[in-house]
Amino acid sequence: MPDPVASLIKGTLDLLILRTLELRPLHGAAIAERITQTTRGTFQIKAGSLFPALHRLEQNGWIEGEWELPAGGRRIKTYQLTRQGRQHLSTEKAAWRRVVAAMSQVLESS
Amino acid sequence: MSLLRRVAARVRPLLGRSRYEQDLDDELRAYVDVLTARHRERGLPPDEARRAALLDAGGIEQVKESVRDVRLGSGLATAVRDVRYGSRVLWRSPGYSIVVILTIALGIGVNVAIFSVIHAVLMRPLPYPDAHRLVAIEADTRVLASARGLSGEIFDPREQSRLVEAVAQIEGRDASIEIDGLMERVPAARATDGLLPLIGAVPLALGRPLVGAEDARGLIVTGVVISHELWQRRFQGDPRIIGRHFIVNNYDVQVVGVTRANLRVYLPAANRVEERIDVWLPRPYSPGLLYRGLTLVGRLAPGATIEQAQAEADALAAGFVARHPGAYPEDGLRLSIRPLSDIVTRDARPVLLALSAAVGFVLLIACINVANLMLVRVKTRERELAVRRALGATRLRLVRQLLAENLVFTVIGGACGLVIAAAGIGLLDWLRPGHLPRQSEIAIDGVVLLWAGGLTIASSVFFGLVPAVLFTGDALGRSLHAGRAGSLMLESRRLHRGLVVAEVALSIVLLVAAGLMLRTFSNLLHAPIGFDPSGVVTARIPLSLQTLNTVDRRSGFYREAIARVGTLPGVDAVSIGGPLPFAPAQVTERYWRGGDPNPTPSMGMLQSVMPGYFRVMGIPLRAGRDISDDDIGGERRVAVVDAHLADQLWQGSALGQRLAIDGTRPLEIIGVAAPIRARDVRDAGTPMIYVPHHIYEIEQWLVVKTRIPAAVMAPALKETVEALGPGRPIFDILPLEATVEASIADTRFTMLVLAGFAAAALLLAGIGLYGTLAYLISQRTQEFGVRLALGASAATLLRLVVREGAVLTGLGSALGLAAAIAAARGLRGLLYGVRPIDAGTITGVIALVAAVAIVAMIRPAWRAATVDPVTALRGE
Repeated sequence: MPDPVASLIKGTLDLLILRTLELRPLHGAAIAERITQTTRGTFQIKAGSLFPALHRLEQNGWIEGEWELPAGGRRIKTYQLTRQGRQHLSTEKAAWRRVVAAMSQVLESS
Repeated sequence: MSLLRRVAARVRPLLGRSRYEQDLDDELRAYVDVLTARHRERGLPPDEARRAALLDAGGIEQVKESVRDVRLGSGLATAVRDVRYGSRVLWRSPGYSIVVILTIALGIGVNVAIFSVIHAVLMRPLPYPDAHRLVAIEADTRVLASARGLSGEIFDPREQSRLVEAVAQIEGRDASIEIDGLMERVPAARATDGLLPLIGAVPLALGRPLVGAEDARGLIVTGVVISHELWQRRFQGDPRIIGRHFIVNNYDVQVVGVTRANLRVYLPAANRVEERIDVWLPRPYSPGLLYRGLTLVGRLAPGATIEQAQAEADALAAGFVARHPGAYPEDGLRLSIRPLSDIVTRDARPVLLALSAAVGFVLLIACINVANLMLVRVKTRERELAVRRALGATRLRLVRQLLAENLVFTVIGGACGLVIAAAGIGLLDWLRPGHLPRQSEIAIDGVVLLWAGGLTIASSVFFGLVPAVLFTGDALGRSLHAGRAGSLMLESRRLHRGLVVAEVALSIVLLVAAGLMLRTFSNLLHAPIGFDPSGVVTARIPLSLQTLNTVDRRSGFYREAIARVGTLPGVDAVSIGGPLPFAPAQVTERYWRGGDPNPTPSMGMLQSVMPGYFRVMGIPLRAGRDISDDDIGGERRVAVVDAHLADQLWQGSALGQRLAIDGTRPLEIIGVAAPIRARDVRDAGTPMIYVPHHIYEIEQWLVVKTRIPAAVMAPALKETVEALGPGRPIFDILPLEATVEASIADTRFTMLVLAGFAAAALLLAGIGLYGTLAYLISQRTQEFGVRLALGASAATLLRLVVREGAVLTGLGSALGLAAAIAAARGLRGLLYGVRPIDAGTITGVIALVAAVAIVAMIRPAWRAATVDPVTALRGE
């Protein structure tokens, strides 16, 4: 069975994460769950893809990690979108829409 | 701001490594916790839930590794770890490490040494202002031989050329100076006014540059410029030096200027100018000298190119020849205009290029040897690598680690190589090749260090990549379940053999080159130079023209010196003459058949001699008689010519004929001598003319045939000559053999260096062959055991090993010979009396390689033959 994530191009995963964090800050596992929920199970993000992507986005300055200490629990790192990340997301969204529109045109014309 | 943060993000993991790891750990732990909680919500018991969560996460270590890879900083951290691991490997097996490091050091050391020479001699621009615009103007040698050279008919590039300006002339010749009664010889040069500015010597440290019109009366020099060194050494840095008088070549002169300290002069070899000049004498400009082989120096006009200047010179010369029919042979006037730096380094270039190719080969062989060793080394770690690969290490990760380990070796090897290079440069200074220009500038500087660094990295990649790629490839997986007889065995064996074949081939090329140079050197040593330098001691006796101010007095002094020295014990014969064969400064004159109304002059070399010169020098007289005391006393116009000249002008019967020489009335030929080689051992056939001392006065040498060594003879000679009166200095008391040897010093240098490289290459190839055979046999011990158990004899095994070694050596030799034949063409210009494809050399080289191969085979073959089948089989 082909892993849907494997066929995800890197840019798409980044876009998914950024979009998910646009609504509110989340920690790693929550981000993965959120993506699975919203895509109704189409995308299941494994840790091996998720964490390198998160650290890459953090390095690019698009998201920012912050350690939180819930009462009685282990400390946990939540990520939130930075101002730059927001800008990047909006340009990426526009680009993505153009691509989708173009692809649909190609695929649905006959 | 964002840049700062980004840099910080990359550096942080390097500095606070443990904290970064802790964070990553916590983050992933929290992730697993969340997953575990979800599984429990679905009703799994705690243990099961956690296991399912870990399974979902897919290997925490692998996730961590890929997160680390995202961070550039962690790449660096990995490299540091790899290097640390590499150093541990190095300490753990010191024997292996020392062999590898020394091999690398040798390869890199010789390369850096030769590169530092090439950098100083060929690559760096001359240290003159506008060095790239300086040009050398040379005349074609055909013109040299037959130009009429009547004053009005000489083509003068200085006068005619518009694209070459500031044309100057210089001729080096040492001078004897006398300051406060103390005489010595110093390097000197006669230069036209424009020369000092051209080489950037102006402004001077003190005084003014030479002005021919003021500093000379006709040919008599009155003013000179001296070097900073001479000023300090002989005048104690006297601040009122300008205007001080001293004696140069027996004339009283005045100091007009002092050059700056450390002025070095790099000019074409033809001008014979030493790199350090102590006394600068003025000389009038004379285009005629150009046609006698003295190179002119000039500067391209702004915007002009060499090609334009050459085209202009061609056009001007053609026009000149058309206007002066008969002045030059048809089409014979051709001047070549070339960048000055090309001409200065012309003689050194082919030698240095040959040597740089040789050191390239040495490095290649060293790298192959190290690659071979590393292959064996990595082979023993095959299982370790296979296990790590199976546990998820990427191939890139393993290759990177192996390369990092190599880097540790190469960096240490490279550093040792620098030490070797420094020693090599010292050795070079000691060998002192005759005409290597700019030798004093050779040093290990920034560029050379850069080259050494680049070479180190390149070679580590070269010999590291081969085993690294082989042992991390797809076949590695198979080696895990294949057990001891790893499936890589076959592949690596083939590689081992290939490397040894390449090594043997490369060393053959070097050996052939060295062999050819050795034959050349031996040919030069035994070349028929036409005179016998053995047992001849020579000494320079430049007399004082002030004390001995007439030809009679000078002849008298020479006769007396000959008589007195002749009575010294151990002296068989003595005479006087000059310039000596192979002395740097030779006299060339144009000559033609006397009385010929329409003569075609040729160029010949001239020596001025006293009676008995031919006997001392061992030059046989073919016909006629020697010059006699009566010839000199009676100032007769006579000459002895060599057989070449006699054949050329009179078909051999030259006695009694009249010979015309530039500048004098015709001479009667009284003798014909056997030909000698006087300018260069390689040069046969330049005609010689010997005239009595009174006809052509030039600096003379005392030549003494004796069984006593020069060093022992020296005090007696000095005492005897100086006792004849003041103004009779004598120095440079040397065996004539030393002068002859000095003339082939360049060839000796090339030969010695090439032989050294070839020996190193042969040694490395021998070690490589030995190592490979020994290794292959150790790998096949079990096989041999089985064979023995099944009834094979020890002789069969012995044959097996010998055949292996013979095939490798034979294949390598065949390839090497093919390459050597191709490469030897490049040496052609350096060879003498031996063709690039020389059967003797090739046979010798093959015999040598075969001998080394046999030595390398002895131990492995012995070990194979003495394998104990029981032990070998039990080893399984």
